[in-house]
Amino acid sequence: MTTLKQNTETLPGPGRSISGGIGSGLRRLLVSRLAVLLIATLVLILYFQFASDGVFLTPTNASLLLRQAAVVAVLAAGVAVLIIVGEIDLSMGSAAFLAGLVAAQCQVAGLDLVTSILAAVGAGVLMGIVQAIATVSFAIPAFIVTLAGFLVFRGIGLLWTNAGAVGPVSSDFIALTEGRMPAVIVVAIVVLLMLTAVLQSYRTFRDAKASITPTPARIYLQKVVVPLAAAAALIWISLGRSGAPYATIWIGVVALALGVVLNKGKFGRQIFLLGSNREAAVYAGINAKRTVIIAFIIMGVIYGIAGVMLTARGGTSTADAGTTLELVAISAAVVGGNSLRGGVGSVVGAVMGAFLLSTIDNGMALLGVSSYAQNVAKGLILVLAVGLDGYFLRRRRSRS
Amino acid sequence: MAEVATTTGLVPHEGTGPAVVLSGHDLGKTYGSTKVLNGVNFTLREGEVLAIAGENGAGKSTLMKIIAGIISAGDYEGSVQLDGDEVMFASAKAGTEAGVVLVPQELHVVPHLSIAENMHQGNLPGRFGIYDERLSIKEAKQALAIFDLHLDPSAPASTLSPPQRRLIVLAAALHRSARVLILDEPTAALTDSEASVLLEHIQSLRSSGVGIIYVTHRLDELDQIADRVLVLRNGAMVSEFDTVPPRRDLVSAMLGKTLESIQAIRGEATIEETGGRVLKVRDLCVYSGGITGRARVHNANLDVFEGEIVGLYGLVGAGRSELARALYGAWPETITGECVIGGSSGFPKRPHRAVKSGLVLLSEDRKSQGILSGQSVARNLTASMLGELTTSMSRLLLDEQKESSRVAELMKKLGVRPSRPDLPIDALSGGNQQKVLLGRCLIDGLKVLVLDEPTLGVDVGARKEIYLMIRSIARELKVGILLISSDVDEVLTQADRTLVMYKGRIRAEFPRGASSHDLLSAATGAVS
Repeated sequence: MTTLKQNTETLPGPGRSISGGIGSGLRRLLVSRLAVLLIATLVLILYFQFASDGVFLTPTNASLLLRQAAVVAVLAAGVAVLIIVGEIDLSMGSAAFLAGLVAAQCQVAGLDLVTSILAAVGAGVLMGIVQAIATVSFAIPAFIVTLAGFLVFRGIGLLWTNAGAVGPVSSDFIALTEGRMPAVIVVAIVVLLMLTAVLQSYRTFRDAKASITPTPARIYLQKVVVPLAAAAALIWISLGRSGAPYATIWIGVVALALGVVLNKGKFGRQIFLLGSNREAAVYAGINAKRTVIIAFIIMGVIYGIAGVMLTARGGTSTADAGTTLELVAISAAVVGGNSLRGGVGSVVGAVMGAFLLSTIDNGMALLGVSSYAQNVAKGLILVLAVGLDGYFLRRRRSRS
Repeated sequence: MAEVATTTGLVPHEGTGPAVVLSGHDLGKTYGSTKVLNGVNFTLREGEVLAIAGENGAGKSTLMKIIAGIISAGDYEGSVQLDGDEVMFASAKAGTEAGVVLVPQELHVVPHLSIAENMHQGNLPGRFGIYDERLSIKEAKQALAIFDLHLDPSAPASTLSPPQRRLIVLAAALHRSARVLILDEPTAALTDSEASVLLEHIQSLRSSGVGIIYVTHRLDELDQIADRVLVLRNGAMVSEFDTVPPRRDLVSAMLGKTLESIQAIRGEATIEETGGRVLKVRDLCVYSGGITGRARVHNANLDVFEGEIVGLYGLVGAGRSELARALYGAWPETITGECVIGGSSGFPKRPHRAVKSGLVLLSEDRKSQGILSGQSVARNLTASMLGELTTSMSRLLLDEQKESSRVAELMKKLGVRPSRPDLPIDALSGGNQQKVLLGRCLIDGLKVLVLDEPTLGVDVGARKEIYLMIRSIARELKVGILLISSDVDEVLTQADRTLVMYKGRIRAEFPRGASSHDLLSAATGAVS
């Protein structure tokens, strides 16, 4: 009798969203991971602020941080998709370099902005397709395929330029990421973010009324507080001397697009299911080959975008552009809760991980600490983040 | 049935004749709260072949594991005596060293190691911890000669076919100077000629005084080699025959039921009318190891009509699961034959194609081919029907409201407990996981549902609910169901008619109302 009663209470009726409830224990872990990540970043920001005598937390430095973090954030968001489906990508740095080189060559040849961008994205997609075919059709592990891509893509670029720099690109091209957004765009984004917050708080309120259990505070935090905080930060940065850079839009668009694909799309669901048990998902009738190929092609688009951003940031395409970027992006995704075992993760986490790592870079550089020490710090944080995950997971399991 | 000598609580004979080499007293084993073996006694004399018979799950493998030390001393009840002294094997290695050698049903051949290394697993020849490869290869060659196998012992084991793998393990075991040799379904993967070589060799081992325990499903082999037969049922010893009895008596003892008691559990409404044919299979052959390799399924023909439940009964290794995987596009190697599913002809190439044409398989391997571990119950439930749950705006986006109402509807229909779609699937009991997986099969346009051991490891309560579900899927949704099972009672009570497989062939078809006796006879090759 009691079980029957419980059934009717906890069953979500038709029409009520179970998107909040559909997540499992691991998903809850991920949400708490995001909260930890946010707190860790805030603590670091405060530390750097005091240690640097107030230089760190200025609109100018925040603008710089955004521009520094942008490429890593975009790549981390892309590789999160591959990590969730149970694959990996070690070629990101080289692929972004080659795509950026294509854009720079177009610029030097006098082609216009749009053509240069499209050429870079085309080159990226091509690299994605090649790696997809090698991984899926020839059944070579993605680790090996993309390790080869890591060598081949940079090798091709170096052969093409004889390891020389290609540039300079036009000032319009540089402005793609570095340029200051006009007030109109900033206002438009801020309004959008605020509308999102209002809509989300309305929905949370509506669902809370329909449900017996109270809405956890962290969901409210994630859906309402974060957009509002982002809007406030954007206004603050745009009022500074260098303003809010266009890089912000790239990060936002990529994260939003991939977030929707993963969380609302059929494809995204298939990514999660394949990642948690490839064989069982195939037995459930999911076309594993097609899904993994599409994931690699999406990654290819990301190569193109990241390549453009890399070249725009440097002003020229240099031979060492994007070295070790693949490892930083994977670290960011993993720190952000994307499990290399597959089936768990998020784009938001990957982007937040990228910001955490960039904050360390930026802050330590500001304090005049050697870049070697920055690597030590980032390495320790990577191990700490994953180690804590394992610890909490084991504790949760032993309790249940 | 009067001639069945029921001798539970047996004590070792103290007669004349060869000495008792191995005996077990009151052997028992409990897993969790389930008693899988209880109060089993046996004796084995030198030069004797003791056959152990029983249905799947009767406790045969557990008994073998206790004797061989795989279940270590202290983890079971009762005692084992070798040559009159109690032995407490801590591991299979200890058992082997004492002369009790087990060839298990599932082999552990390491593909990357050489044939010789695989044959000497656990006791590589050599001194001071240094492996003597030459000696190892020499011994391996001698052992391989038993089956007239001309293989290079230094070649990796991955070059062997599955029957060859079994042969090398058997050869290694036969070559070892064992006191007691335990063979668990040794002929399951062998051809008839390989099996007869094995049986001949058993005869010669027996004349040299080795005691042999022989576990098999194939009753025809017992006539050839067994001296005595011990029958287990539900973990208990039910009969001991001092000679090999007529098969009819053996089958009765294995089932443990009179025909009347089986009639009593039947009696649900039979199907009144059958609709159109939803599955037609002709001349299906399923091969492993290429088209020249061994056929796991030979020339199978079968039809399933809409609204009908067709049982497919067979013992382990009969080729049932291979047939199911071939129908679902999940068999990685060659298949030949004709197939029509609903309106589309041809075998599906991959599972998602099968699902599209309206055929879904519920795999017997729930853990690795069923549940999506770490994902929620809801996500597990809708994994096969994502295409139906997209928004009207775009086929690429999922409609959350559609999904949640479908999940709620299915969970209510299936009676999944607890009724919490947000829990990870791992938190549910086996029976409830199985209900979720059954719900996953209920796609739009379902025509054929292949259920491979749908109640394996499911408790009695959930089992009953699953049966009701299966029945309502067939009758109400007009789906044709192929119910694959190694449980006689399951096919007898649930199927409208039953096909029986033996050694890769569909050997017989029985209408509703057949006896378990008939089924088991056909499934063990006792009748042709």
